[in-house]
Amino acid sequence: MKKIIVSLSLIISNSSTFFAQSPDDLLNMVEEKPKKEFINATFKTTRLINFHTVEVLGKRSLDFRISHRFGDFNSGAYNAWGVDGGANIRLALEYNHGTRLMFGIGRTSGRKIADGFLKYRLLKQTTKGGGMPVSVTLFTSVYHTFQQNVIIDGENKYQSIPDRLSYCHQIMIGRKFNSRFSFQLTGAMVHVNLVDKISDKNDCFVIGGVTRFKFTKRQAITLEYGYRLNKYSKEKYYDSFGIGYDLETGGHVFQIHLTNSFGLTEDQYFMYTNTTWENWGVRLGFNISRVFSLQGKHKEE
Amino acid sequence: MKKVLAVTLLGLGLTGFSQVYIGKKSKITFFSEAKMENIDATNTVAQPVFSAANGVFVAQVQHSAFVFKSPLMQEHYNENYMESEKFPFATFKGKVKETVDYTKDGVYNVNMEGTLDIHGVSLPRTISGTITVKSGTIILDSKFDVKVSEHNIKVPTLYVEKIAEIIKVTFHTEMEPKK
Repeated sequence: MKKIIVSLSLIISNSSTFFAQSPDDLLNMVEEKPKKEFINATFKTTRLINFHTVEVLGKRSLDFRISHRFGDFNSGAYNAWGVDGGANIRLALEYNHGTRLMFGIGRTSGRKIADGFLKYRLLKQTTKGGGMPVSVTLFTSVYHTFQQNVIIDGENKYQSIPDRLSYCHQIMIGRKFNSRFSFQLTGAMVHVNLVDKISDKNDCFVIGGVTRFKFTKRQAITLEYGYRLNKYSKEKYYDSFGIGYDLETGGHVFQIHLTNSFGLTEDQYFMYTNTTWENWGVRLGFNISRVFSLQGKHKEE
Repeated sequence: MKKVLAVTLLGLGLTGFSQVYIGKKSKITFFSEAKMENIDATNTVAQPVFSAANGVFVAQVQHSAFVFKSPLMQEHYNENYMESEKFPFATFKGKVKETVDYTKDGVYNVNMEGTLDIHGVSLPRTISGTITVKSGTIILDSKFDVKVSEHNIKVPTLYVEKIAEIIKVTFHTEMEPKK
């Protein structure tokens, strides 16, 4: 009799399928390996104010960007604090065909710079089952100025195409700490092929910080700062520092901000920002980003 | 000895009837039809679980696994509407009201009474569907509606013409006995 009871109870206790009938017990039976899940939207778009963020575009997404910077605040009331005269505008088209590598081309009115870049999302931060605490993105670009009749010491500055070129290489490491706060470190290097003076250096190394604080689902306050590590010129240049506001609406992101940098390309704003916050040498600016999805009708299997 | 053997076999036989089925092949879609835009998305990774012994059914659907035709739509769905970081799953826990013999092949119309939890709001729902039993596989098909506002999902006035008030969901899963 004992043997029967023992064996019966052994069987019943081992057959979890016999007794586990509540929904939660059933859920526990699904033996799924923890799936790697990637973080979503560390930043709302690929740029914060001027600086690049770790974000790349989604698959088959085309981004049309307009960036505008007004003149300096300290040009006074007569100039409507920079609204009159001296604006810098960049128009660009940026595209990602796959998931990690995107490219873009743009043209800036200031110094007539055409730029082309590649941006690669190397590592994506994971939420669970992945163990990657940060996103890492790499960036490389080339800048070509089309300016004519630039005379230095009586001679044409640009005598050949390489004279007109500059480059920038960046590594960005960012983390979305929670749904409200993200922070990114940028390490950048700008190389200018031809500098104005013999005493000038061709390279500038920058460590930057980029952060955003989202205070509603679609609005955020943004901040960026680029600290230059080396001295490369006897002229007075300043670190780029900007504060901004992001508003996201459907397919657009509107960004409005104050920054001391007039330039819209990395070589200009990292290396040659020549106005400072200290005497209100800052300007109002805005970026508009409109993303189009080029994927056709969603075809099922 | 004979008695022990008999009881053992009986015990094993009992477990044979209390079958748990897992849906390894599933397709869940939702469709929003609005004046300015239609939005649809598909989730094929969900694995619903069903107990044939008492008709208890659970489906846990991960929001971030829904595939949209536009990655930006997918980002907004998770970031702005579902807040997937706070509420990663939509879950239905229910029980089939009718008594069905799951060992017999056939098509049965059923009603599942339970709770539907989306975006942190759990609502009691009775969802109707069809169960098809075919050579040991239980196939569940269902079509039901979800009212966006009932689950505390906020749609700003700017997008009212882009997102429907009532989302149409289709649910299809093919469940095999758990081995």
